[in-house]
Amino acid sequence: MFAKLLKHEWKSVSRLLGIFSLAALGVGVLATVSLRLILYFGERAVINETQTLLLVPVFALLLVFSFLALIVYLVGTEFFLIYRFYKNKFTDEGYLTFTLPVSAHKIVLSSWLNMLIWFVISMAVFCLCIFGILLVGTAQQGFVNTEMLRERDIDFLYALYKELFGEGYLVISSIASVAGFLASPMIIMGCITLGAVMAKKHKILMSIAIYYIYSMILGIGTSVISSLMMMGVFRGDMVTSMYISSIGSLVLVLASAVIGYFLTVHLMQKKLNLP
Amino acid sequence: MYVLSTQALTKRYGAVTALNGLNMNLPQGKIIGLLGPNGSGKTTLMKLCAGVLMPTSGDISICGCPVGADSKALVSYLPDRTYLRNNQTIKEQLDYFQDFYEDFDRQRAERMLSDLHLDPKSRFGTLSKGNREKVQLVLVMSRRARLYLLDEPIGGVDPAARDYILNTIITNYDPAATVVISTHLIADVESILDEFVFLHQGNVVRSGSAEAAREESGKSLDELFREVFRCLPSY
Repeated sequence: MFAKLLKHEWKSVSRLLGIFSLAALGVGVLATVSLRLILYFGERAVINETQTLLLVPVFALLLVFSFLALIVYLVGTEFFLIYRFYKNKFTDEGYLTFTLPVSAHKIVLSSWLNMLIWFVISMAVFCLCIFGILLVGTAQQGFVNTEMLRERDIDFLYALYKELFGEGYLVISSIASVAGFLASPMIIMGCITLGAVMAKKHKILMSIAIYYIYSMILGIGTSVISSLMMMGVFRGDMVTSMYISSIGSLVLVLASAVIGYFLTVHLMQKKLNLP
Repeated sequence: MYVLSTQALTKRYGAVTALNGLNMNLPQGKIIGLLGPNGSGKTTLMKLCAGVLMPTSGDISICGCPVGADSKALVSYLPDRTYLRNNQTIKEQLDYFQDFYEDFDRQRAERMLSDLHLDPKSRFGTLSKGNREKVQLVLVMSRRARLYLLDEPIGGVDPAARDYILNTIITNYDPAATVVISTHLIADVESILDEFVFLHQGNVVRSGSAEAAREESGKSLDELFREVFRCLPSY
């Protein structure tokens, strides 16, 4: 049943998000070509000055709008998935979802996994476009700007990071980033479910308010941990303080996700109240 | 064993009591009319039994199972609203039901759609309100469920489709299954009802065999309904 839930969750969003993702890739290509033409016209002056003056601003505008479109794609995908979750569970469509012979655990997990997969896809498309623009768009000769990929620069950055914070911090900060990425859909789902169950009207507004309050509490918690660690900094132990601060934030985010999961399941099992 | 049992079932919406300690046992193999004026608790009772609403207190059991994933496999519920996805085709909705309900009879669904001249390739959102209701009813009645909960199944369809739907209910349901129909159109459904339950302000005010009630009172259920609810306060 879990696989079937996931299949139908995927089908319900993939048509539209697939088109959006292809369009985003197209925008990435457009931005890459625009940047390349700006550099080509600007530096080599292959056409006369009047034409350059007309064409370069057009391509520059295209580049700016392409960047904006890519950001809209990234944020829009996230909002669309969140809205789909709300619509599928807490509007009339909920009558279909919650009369299926499946447990609330499976409903929540399939929604989380579907959201996560699309977060990853949209992030991958966004990064691919940005790297494409930077590596291909700025190439002076050949297809790729090999100067940007010089191994010694990457090695230098890694060595600098290691010297400043130590190798362990890179590992911890990477784990914290991945954990935050995995946790965020679950936290959002928890806030939406709580808002939808609590409010009689304006369920979306209530969900946003709950997410805002959660973010404030998390921010305060992180600040408290950081402040406590700053005292450590003044005692001359900055690296340890940063380690503990990162671990503290990681624990807070993971705890939020676990609470979000069990809260969502509990509310769906015990407090469901479809209009 | 009863198909549906409720014990001291209560549902409150703030200060309003929709169901007030309801005790009810519905036997298997019957078509039962759940009848009552607006706000009597019919829809609330169906939503509670389907698991889309949680009771304030009391218990519900469907063929001995509490409301949950197991009971939902036994119940085929038609809510009083359009709940299928507008961007899906009818065929996609058939696939959906086939995937999740082991008791879904696809051939029966396709035959009914054909009888009602509904094209499976049509997108649900492009259908008229009446046709959307027909599609939902076809999906719900194409399951071989133990309990059918139909909330206003004929409210929004034309008289010809109404006859077809009522005929479908009579001919398609399993003798071991129970069909509960909630409606205001008592005269239309009266001929197919085995039993009736009159609900008022969350309480059962009268119930029993439709035939016996007609014989005893010398009136049709429709007339009896008007008589009973005319006398009750706040109606």
